[in-house]
Amino acid sequence: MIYVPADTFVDRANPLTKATIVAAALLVALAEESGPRPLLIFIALMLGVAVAARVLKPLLGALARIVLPIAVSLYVLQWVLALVQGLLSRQSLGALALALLDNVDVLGLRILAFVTAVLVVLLTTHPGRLVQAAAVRGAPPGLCYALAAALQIIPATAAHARAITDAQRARGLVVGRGLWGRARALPPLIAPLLLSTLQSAEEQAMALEARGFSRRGPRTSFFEVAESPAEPLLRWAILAAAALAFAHLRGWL
Amino acid sequence: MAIVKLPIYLDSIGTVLVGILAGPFAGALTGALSNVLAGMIMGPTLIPFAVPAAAIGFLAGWAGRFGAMRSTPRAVIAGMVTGAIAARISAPISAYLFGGVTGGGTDLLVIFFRALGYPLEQATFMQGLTVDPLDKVVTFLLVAWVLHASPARLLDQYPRGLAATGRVARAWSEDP
Amino acid sequence: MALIFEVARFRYAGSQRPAVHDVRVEIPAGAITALCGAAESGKSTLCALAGGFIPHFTHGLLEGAVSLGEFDSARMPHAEWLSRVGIVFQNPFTQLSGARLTVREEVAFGLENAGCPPNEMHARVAVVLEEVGLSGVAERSPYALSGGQQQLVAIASILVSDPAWMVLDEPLAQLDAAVSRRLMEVLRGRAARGVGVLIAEHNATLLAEFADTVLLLRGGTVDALGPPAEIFARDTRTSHGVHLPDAAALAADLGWNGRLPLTVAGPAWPPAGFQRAAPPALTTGPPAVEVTGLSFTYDSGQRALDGVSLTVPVGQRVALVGRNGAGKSTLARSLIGLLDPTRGSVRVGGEDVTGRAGHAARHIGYVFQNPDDQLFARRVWDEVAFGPRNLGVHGDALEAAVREALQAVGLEDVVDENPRDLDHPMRKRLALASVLAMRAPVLVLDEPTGGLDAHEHRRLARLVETLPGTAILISHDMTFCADHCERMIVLHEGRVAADGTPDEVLGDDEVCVKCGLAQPAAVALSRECGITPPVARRAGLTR
Repeated sequence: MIYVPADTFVDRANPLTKATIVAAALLVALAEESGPRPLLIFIALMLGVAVAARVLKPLLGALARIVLPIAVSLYVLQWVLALVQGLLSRQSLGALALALLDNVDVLGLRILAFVTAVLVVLLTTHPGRLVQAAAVRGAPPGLCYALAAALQIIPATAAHARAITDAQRARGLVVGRGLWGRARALPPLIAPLLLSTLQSAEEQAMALEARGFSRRGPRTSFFEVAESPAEPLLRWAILAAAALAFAHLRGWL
Repeated sequence: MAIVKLPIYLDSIGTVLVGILAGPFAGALTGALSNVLAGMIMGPTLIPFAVPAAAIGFLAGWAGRFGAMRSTPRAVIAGMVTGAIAARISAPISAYLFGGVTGGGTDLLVIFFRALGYPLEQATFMQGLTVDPLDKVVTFLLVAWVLHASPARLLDQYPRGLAATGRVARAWSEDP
Repeated sequence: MALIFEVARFRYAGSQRPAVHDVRVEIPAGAITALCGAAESGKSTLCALAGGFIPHFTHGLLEGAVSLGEFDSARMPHAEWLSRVGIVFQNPFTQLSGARLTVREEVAFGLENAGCPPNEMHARVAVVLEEVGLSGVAERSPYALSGGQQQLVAIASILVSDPAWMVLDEPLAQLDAAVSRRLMEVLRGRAARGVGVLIAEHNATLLAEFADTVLLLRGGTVDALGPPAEIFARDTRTSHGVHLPDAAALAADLGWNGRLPLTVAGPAWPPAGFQRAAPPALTTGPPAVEVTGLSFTYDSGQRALDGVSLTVPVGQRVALVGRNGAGKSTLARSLIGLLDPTRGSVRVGGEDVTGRAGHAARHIGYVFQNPDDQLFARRVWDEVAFGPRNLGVHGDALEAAVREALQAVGLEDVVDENPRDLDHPMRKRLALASVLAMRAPVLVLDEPTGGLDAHEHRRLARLVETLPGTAILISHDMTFCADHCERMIVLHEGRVAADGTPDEVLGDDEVCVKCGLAQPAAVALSRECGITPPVARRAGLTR
């Protein structure tokens, strides 16, 4: 789970509004094709929000975990290409290094911007609450249910997988040698998990029926989404503005 | 898969299972949602791959209809075809959004093909072809195993459950 | 409004025999009615019928009807029927919707789907949480609660909609004594306010106390109907495979002639006439299992085991008991080499198996509590052969091992069946067979009596008596442990709190209260007869 609970104004803001603002800003930043500046500004803004929400350290940690390997791979890719294309012999290594860095720039920044944007939203919003807010605002209930329930049962499913592994190891399951030997260990580990999942799905469906989930009438919400009636309008307006800005910057309008 | 030390992910096993049992649309939805979910928990870079994941679920649904679960050779073929198509769809997404890399060990393959002179999208596609079909073949085989090990009563809950495995062993009708 | 069953016959799709037939009963509201019967006697089917899941959810052929006043369950839309009839199932975990982040919201879920106004929701949820005793955990995630608490959440989520009827299918199966009692008290409270309650359960002791009427089922139909005192007056264990309340079971085992009593004290029992019989001598001999200074701390910092040392001689039957969380499963998993302890060691049959699961499997077999965690094969035969194959047994030796194991548990007839097609008690037997086939000299059984009817219970007792080698039983069933194990080790907060014969351990009130052990009826009877120190084993009392 990426979410880090902290009691700041960012945390308390409406999940959908947060997501909308971040998405809109990202869209605008991605639109500018001439150089890295809008992306750098966007990333700086996101870092600022992270500081305000007191999630800077987790953000940097997650970025290192996710983006750094990609950046390294991209860089290595460029190096190998340069090698193959024979550029290495003609320039000093230092100058080449800088030139390559330039190349990686915009793509790397785009990735960084996208990942940072999503991380900032996820670090300050419990994904379950995000899904709930969407459900209240009219997203299909079945979809929201599937996402929210999946989020919650993941730890239990992981624990169940461990219990199954234990049970089979107690029956002497050893991962054999060679490809076939290893593949043979898969059914005893995977089948009980999937079969139990099918069984649980049946029980879960019956329990949902018993709670009236498949009723057709209007639904209410216990969880209060604290926002003024103008806020949904505001969100659509922001998205529309961002889309227009994107089109304009790309020269389509 | 750390415990068995095999070069497969088996991340679409749930998607394929749902596709076979409940049809192409449900499979596609499961695939897409799984990636969104993984994105929320592990890292946003997985989210754009909801598209090939949805394709896998969609294809699994059709594979089920064509009897992919009824015999081992059919499951293997279904896996290979699905894997190849998934690789084909992932390639442009990976190439355009992430420069063809994921930060994992398979990036070496992309670098290798790129060094041989292939354009980026093709290099990414070829990397996909070396990994995805095998992963999907194992996935389809495991799902087939699970379906054949399931009690008929459970499979009957799903629209395509019994038909997928070709089970008509018991009289499953409403007359006495 | 009474719940009326007029069912001539119901057959599940794909099944040859009807699951229930000729059930014509009127179940009154404002009372608790219990359904008692062996496995396959029709309890679950009747609950499914009462909840409308037959015919709306499950495929099959129904001849007859279930009605509530003028409403017929088959004709009314299922959602509407369910607004009148609340249903609670056995597994607490799968009843949580999973879509809500706190207990309070989870309970409100049903009201949300019904379109209840928010103010009213808040009030009703608060009342129900108070009723089941969960107000203290209202803001926690349902997934952070214990199984017992989750079951209370499940029942609260149904009660909040104020249904006219409550149907519960083995709700106490995974709960401990305290939570079970709490749940029954909640049901009694509702019944007193006019709600009708239909509950299928094995726990006869609680039913004797709380149920107004018991329906005794056999072979898919109602054999007898009456108050608990009437129904449990005869030994239903042999006639119907139905458990008796503790005191009645004790009386029956002691050779009681007349009507079986529901409690130990009272005019039905003679005050004198029982004496203590000499307990069997404790097994001595070379050690089968030696645990030395075992300590284990989880990554979270929780210390599960703290310096546990014990020795089990070859051939002994020992029970490992204690509350949930006392360290029983941690100790058990260390015994089979699945955990790397922080300190200490485990030796089985003279070999060090600390942290070496593959190696340990040869020397010690473990039957896990949930058979579904193990079953993966397409045929029963393959399932049982899996274990010995892993140990390198092939050909004729493998055939022999599998056949013997299947015979020992009575599953020879289903060799070619799909394991998951068998019912729960048979799957438990199958899991046991798959471990027996490995022929390890030491066997660990984890909660072997869970959810078994009286027939299966007796079969298990016979099996435990005839097991070759050493056996360690982990269980909450104190009566079973007292009757079939010569020694009892009690774990409390990661340490050994008591170690002795069942008489010594279960006769010690202080230990039992501290460690949450339910004393068998024999202890209470010993007190009544003035036998000190008290006896816990049935065989310990003679005329």
